[in-house]
Amino acid sequence: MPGKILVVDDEKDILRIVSFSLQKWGYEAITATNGQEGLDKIANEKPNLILLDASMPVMSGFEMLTQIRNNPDWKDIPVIMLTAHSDPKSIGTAAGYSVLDYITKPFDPMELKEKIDKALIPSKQKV
Amino acid sequence: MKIANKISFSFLAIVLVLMSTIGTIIYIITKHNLQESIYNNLKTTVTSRTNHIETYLKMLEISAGQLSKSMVLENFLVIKDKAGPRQSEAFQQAMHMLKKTKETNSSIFEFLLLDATGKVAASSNESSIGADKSTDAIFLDGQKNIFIKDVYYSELFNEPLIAVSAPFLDSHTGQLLGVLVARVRLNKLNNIVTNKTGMGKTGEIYIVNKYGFMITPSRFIEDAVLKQKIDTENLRRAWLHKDREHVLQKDEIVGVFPDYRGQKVMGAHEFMSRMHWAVLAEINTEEAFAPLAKIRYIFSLILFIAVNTAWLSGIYIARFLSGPIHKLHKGTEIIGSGNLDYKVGTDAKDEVGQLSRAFDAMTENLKNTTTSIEHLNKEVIHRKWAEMRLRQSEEMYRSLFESSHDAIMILISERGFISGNPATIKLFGCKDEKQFTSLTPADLSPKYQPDGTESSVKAPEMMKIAMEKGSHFFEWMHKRMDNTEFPATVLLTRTEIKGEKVLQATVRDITESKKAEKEMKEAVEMKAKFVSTASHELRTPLTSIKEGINLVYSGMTGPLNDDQKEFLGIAKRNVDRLARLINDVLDFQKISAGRMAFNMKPAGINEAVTLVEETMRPLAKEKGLDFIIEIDQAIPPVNFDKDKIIQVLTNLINNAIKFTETGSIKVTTSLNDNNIITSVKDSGCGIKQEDIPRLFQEFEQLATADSERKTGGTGLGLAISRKIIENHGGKIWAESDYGKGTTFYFELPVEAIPCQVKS
Repeated sequence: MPGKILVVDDEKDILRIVSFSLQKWGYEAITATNGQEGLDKIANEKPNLILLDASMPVMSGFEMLTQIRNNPDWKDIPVIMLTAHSDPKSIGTAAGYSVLDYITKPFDPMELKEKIDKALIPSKQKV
Repeated sequence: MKIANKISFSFLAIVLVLMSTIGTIIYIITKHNLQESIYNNLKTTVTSRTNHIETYLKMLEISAGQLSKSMVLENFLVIKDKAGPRQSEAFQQAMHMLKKTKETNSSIFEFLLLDATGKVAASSNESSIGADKSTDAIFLDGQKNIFIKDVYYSELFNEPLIAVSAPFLDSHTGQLLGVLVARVRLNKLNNIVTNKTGMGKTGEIYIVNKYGFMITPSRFIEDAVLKQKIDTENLRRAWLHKDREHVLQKDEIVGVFPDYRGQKVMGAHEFMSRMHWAVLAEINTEEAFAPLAKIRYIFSLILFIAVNTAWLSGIYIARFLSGPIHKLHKGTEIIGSGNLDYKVGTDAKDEVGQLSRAFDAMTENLKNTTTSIEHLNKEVIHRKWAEMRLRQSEEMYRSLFESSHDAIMILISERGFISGNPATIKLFGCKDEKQFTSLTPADLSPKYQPDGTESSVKAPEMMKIAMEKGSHFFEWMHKRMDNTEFPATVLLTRTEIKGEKVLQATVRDITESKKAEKEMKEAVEMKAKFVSTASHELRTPLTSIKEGINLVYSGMTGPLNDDQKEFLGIAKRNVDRLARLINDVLDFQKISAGRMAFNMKPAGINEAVTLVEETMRPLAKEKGLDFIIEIDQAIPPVNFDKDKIIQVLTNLINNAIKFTETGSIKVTTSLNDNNIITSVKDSGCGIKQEDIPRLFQEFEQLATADSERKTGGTGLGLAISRKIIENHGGKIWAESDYGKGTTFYFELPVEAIPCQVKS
C-alpha cells in the first residue's frame, strides 16, 4: 500500500470523486465530512497525508489544522488544502499553518495526483 | 446647681422651717397645757385627800370626845376603887359599852379607859386591863385635851396604829377621872390615801410623818410603813411650807423632781400642821406626758409626709417650670449650631412660653435676614456664573465661527447677509467679509434651482419656513463669485442677536458627496447588471453541459458501467443545483432591483396552501413525516400574486421537510385583525435564538449537523421569500425552540397593496 490519505470535505460528491481517484492511483482513501470527524479519523487511522477543505460545518478546516499542529504526534503530517476559497486571505491563513500545498476548486485531477505523489514517494520508498 | 434642684431644696427648706416652727409651738403649748392640767389635778387631788384625812381625824376626835362623856364610863371610874357588887356591875357595864362601841367601828383596834394613875381600868380588849400607860404620850398628853398620837408600830399587835386620847372629866366637879384612848387601825386612813382615783397607773399619794418616814403604804415598795425614809424635793418643799404664812402659789406646790425611788415624777404636796404630816401626791412624768409622746409621734408622721410631699411637689413644680426653660436652652443650642428652622415655641401662656415665642420670632427674623443674604449671595454667584458662561459661550462661538470648515453666515430676511465666517468668504470666493455682506442670497444662487423654481422666489420661502419653524434644512444650488455652481446643504436656524431676530445659515458644499452618491448608484447598477448578465451568460453553457450529461446518462450514446453512471449522476445533480442557484440569484437580483413582476389578483390563501400540499405531501410521506393542514375557511380572497406566494410556501415547507427527521409538518392559516397569518411548523432540529436574525439574509446557510448543501440549497430561498412577502406589504418571521422545532410565519394584509408591479 503506497500511503493512507484522509480526505475531509462536507460535499459528499467531492469525497466520492476524490477517494475514487485516489484508489485508482493506488492510495488508501479514508473520508470525513467535518473537522471533528477528521480528528477522530487521524487518531484511529494514522494517515500519511490529509486533503482538507476549509469551509465545513461543526469544525472548519482551519480549526482542525490548529489542533493537528498543536498535537506532537500529528504536527508533522503533511496537509494539502483543497478548497473553493481562492482569496488571498484564506491562502495566507493556510500558509500560516505551513500546509504542503493549496489547491483551489475546481481542480485538475492530474495536478492533485502529482502533488500527492511528490509528498508521499519518500514514505512509499520507506515502505 | 440646677434650677430644678434649687426649687426643690427651697421648697423643702420652707416646709421644714414652717412645720418645725408650727410643730414646736404646738408642742410647747400642748405640753404647757398638759402640765398645767396635771398640776391642777395633782394639786386638787392632794388638797382634797388632805381635807379628807383632816375630816377623818376630826371624826376620830369627835368619837373619842363623845365617848369620854359617857355616863356609864364615868360611873365606873368614880366607883371603881370601891369594892362591892356595884363596882363589879359598873365595870361590867363599862366593858360592855367599850366592846359595843368598838364593834360599831371596824377601824377601831381597841378602846382603853385609863384611870387617873395611867393604868388601864377597862378595855374592849380584856387582856389589856391592868397595863400601865402612865408614861405614854396617850396618857400624858391626853389628860388636858383630845390628843392624837402619831403613827407608831405596836409590837404587841404587830401593826401600825394611831391613838386618839380624850381626857375623862367628872361631869360634876370637872376633876380628871382618867383618859379615854382609842387605838385605831390605819385601814381607813390608807383607804383615803391609796384611793387611785385620778392617779392613773403610776400615781400615788402617801403621807410622811415629821421624822420623814412613810406612814401609808407605797404603791411600789412592800412593807414601807414606818420603814421607808423619804428625802425628796417634794417633801422638802412640804416642810418648807409648813408654816403656810401665805397662800402658796401653784408652782410652789407642784413640780417635777425625782421621787424616793429615783424616778422622775410630777409631784404636789400638802402640809398637815396638826399632825406635822406631809401629804405627797406624785405621778410619773412618763405617764403624765404620754399624750405628748403621742402628739410627737403624730407630728413626726405629719412632718415626714409633709417633707416628702414637699420634696415631690418641689421636683414636679421644678420640672414644670424648668422643662420649658430646658427646652428653650436646647433649642438655642440647636439654633446656635446653625439650624434656623428649629422652633422652640410652646403654647404655654406663662412667661417661659412668651419668651419661647419671642425667641422663635427672633430666629425667624434672623433666618429671613440670613436667607436674604444667602439669596443675594446666590444671586450674585449665579449672575457671575452666567456672565462667565456667556463670555465663554461667546468666545467659543466666535472660535467655532472663525475656525469652522462649514460656511456659517448670519442674515436678516429683509437686509441680506450681515456676517460670514472665513469659510464662507472662501466658499463663495469673495475678497473679504465686506464684499460678502454687500450680497443677497439671490446673488449667490443661479437663476433657477434644479427643480425649476426661480432662486429669487424660493430663497425667501425657505427663510420664511425657517423663521416659522425655528430651523429648516434643505439642499440648494449655489453660485460662486466666478459664476461656477455647486450643490450644498443649507441649515437655516432662527436665532436672536441683541434682540433682533436673525437667521444663521450653515452651508456645506456637497459636491463630493453628490459625486460619491452618484458613483455608488452607478456601481450598484453595474453590479446588478453584471450579475444579471453573468447569470444569463452562465445559463447558456450550463444548458449545453446539462443536456450533454443527460444525453450520455440516458444511455443513448451507449451503455455505461456502474462507475460511469455514478459519476455522471453526481455531475447531473450538481448541474441541476447550479441551474437552480443561477435562477435564484437572478430572481433575487430582480426582486432587489425592483424588476420582479407581481401579478396581483384576488385569490384564496387556502387554495395556494392546498396546491403546495399536493406537491409536498409525497416528499413528507417519503421521510415518514405527518403532514397536517389546518386552514381557516372564513378567510376571504385578497389581492396577492398566487405564484409568488406558492413559491414562498414551497420554500418554507421544503425547508421544514429537509430539516425534520421525525414528527410532523403543520401548515395553518388564520385571520387576525387585518392580516392573514400563515404558519409552517416543523418538529425538526430547531434554530438557535442568536441565528434567527440571519435566517432571511441572502447566502446565509446555517451550520447544522446535516449540511444544507447535502440537500442542494442555495442560501437564497428565505431571502427571496422575505422580498416577496415584503413586496406584498406583509412580513415574515420565525420562532424556534432549539432542538424541538421551528415555526415560520408570514402575514399578508387583507388589503394587500402591490408595492411594485412592473412588467
